[in-house]
Amino acid sequence: MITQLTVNGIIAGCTYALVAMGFTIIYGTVRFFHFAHGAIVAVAAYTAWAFMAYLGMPFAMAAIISVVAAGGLGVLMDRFVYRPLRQRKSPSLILLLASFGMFLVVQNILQFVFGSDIKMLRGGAASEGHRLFGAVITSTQLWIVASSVILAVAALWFLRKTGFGKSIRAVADDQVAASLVGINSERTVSMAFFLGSALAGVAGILVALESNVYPAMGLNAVIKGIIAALIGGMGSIPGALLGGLLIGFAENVGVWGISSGWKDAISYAVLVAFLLFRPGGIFHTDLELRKV
Amino acid sequence: MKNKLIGVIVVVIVTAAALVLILRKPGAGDQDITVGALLPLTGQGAAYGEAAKSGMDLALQQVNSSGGIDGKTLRIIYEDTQGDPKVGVSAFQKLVTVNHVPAVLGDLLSSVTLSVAPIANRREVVLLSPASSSPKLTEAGAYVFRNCPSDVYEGTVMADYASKTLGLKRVAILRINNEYGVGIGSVFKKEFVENGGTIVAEESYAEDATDFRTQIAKVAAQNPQAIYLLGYKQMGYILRQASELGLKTQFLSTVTFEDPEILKLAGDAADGVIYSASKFSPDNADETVQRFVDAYEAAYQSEPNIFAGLSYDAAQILVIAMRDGGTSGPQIREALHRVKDYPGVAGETAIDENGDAVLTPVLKTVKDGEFVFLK
Repeated sequence: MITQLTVNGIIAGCTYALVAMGFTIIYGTVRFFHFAHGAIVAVAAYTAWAFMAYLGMPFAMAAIISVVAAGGLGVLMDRFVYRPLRQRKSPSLILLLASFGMFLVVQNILQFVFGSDIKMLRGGAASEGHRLFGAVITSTQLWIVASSVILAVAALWFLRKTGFGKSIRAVADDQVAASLVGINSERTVSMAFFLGSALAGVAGILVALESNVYPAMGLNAVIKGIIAALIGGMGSIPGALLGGLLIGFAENVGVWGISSGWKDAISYAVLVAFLLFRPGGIFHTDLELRKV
Repeated sequence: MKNKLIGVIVVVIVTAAALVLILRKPGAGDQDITVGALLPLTGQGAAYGEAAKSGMDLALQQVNSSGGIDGKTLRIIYEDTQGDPKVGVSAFQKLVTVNHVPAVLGDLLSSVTLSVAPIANRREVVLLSPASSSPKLTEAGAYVFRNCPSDVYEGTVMADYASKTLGLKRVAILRINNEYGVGIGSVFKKEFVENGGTIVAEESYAEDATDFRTQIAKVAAQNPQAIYLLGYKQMGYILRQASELGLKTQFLSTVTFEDPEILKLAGDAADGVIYSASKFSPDNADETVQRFVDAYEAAYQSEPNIFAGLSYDAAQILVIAMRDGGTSGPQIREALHRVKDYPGVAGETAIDENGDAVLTPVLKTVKDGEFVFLK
């Protein structure tokens, strides 16, 4: 049973990690909690569903369009809500509230447009998964694990090696200095939102494959994503990946000896422990929370 | 300064408009009788709430076209509880203080009905739930009624079936972590253990959970002969995930299992699940049932489910009581206790001295993707 619980933990952890990576990239650049990140998770899932159900698109195509749409929505949120607030020098608490508001608005729009019943990306018969060291894992779940790892590596490469990535990191370090050396900071912030939101989009589609599409799916995703990002160290991509895996593992293996009703409580307990004893997260980043 | 003035004016106008709306008599003439309904119209229970609303609307339409209540038109004001007790309480307060209703139909969820019950008793407003089956409702007060059987019956019927008919000795419980799951789970457990069986595992999951693999793995590790599954539409995921994990065990469940959405979510993993249900079924040849099904299909172009049926019955029972006793809260309460042999679509219904319905559940199963009576 322990192998099965570990596998369950890794799978759950990978989806948390994807959300956390997007969240952490955006946080690193603009330094506030982009809570509406969760809404983007749900929007991507609904977009994919709508393209498949209404236009009969094959899954891969619908998925790619939805990921791009998710990225685009992130950019729009930044352009029309966050940027005006930033230009007014609003404190990050105001940005957080605006973000929270957008989360609720988007979630309600989804509910209004699509109804609150569950939509399925993956229909048909349930087939038994593959056996792996005594645990069972389905093909969808293998996809989840593979995409998370590949995307983590790709995001890291993008941030470290490409010009855009470097400008994101420069703006993250010091916005004023970055613009002094000729980096267009607004464009860079847009890029960070696109990248982060596209990652959330991938997470949304993978979560939807695993457990279907419903309006409130973004809330759980973003909360676990934020916990994972905090545990990993805000702004750190490898941290987000490890943080996600750690809480996925903790909440699934942690209920081995106790009632499974405690699952969510375990992730929060891990978060509190980190905040108390290692506030910078696994990868002790210098983006500490008191700057929020 | 000018901006501030405009701001003040806007606030004054909005406040005045809101006051007018609140203080105005409920938008009905003297010829109307208004009752309330509390239903989960959004959230996890939305599918049940929508069906219930359709059932009530149908009853309302029939009542009004056959003379209303002593010539007065009956109206129902629907309030959404989102399946959340807190939202339910404020919606109920609104119905009582703003709309001055003497009676409220609902809620479906026991957790919501139980939170509202104390206020119903204090304000002398009748609360008639079509589907809250928690055993606690029996003792919830003089103004709390229901026209579905208590879990005591469902849990007992299933426990007896598992131990006496199926001859099972080792059963696990996998339940939702709320009033409903705890209530029916404990009734089942008590009866099953009294019959000489053992509950080998009892695991729970949060109401908004979608990943149940860890709970399933823990239950499966105890090798139960059957799993008593309690929840709402997430039972569809549970069956699918259990089947993906290669778990082949008999699943037992309750009336909430009879939801087409569960079959959609679970696919053929739902086949063979045995659950207790009301006698109501759209293909029941009974004349009362068929009249209801025909009218419902004509109105909504879809087949009614049990929640539509029970809610239709609830509205009709309320009307019987209002025609018999009067339209104030205390009068309706008196008259509800006199309801005997009401020919409901969910079976012949009587209300006992605790305000509970007397209706015995039957057993059903899923065969080739259809809900059928267990032979």
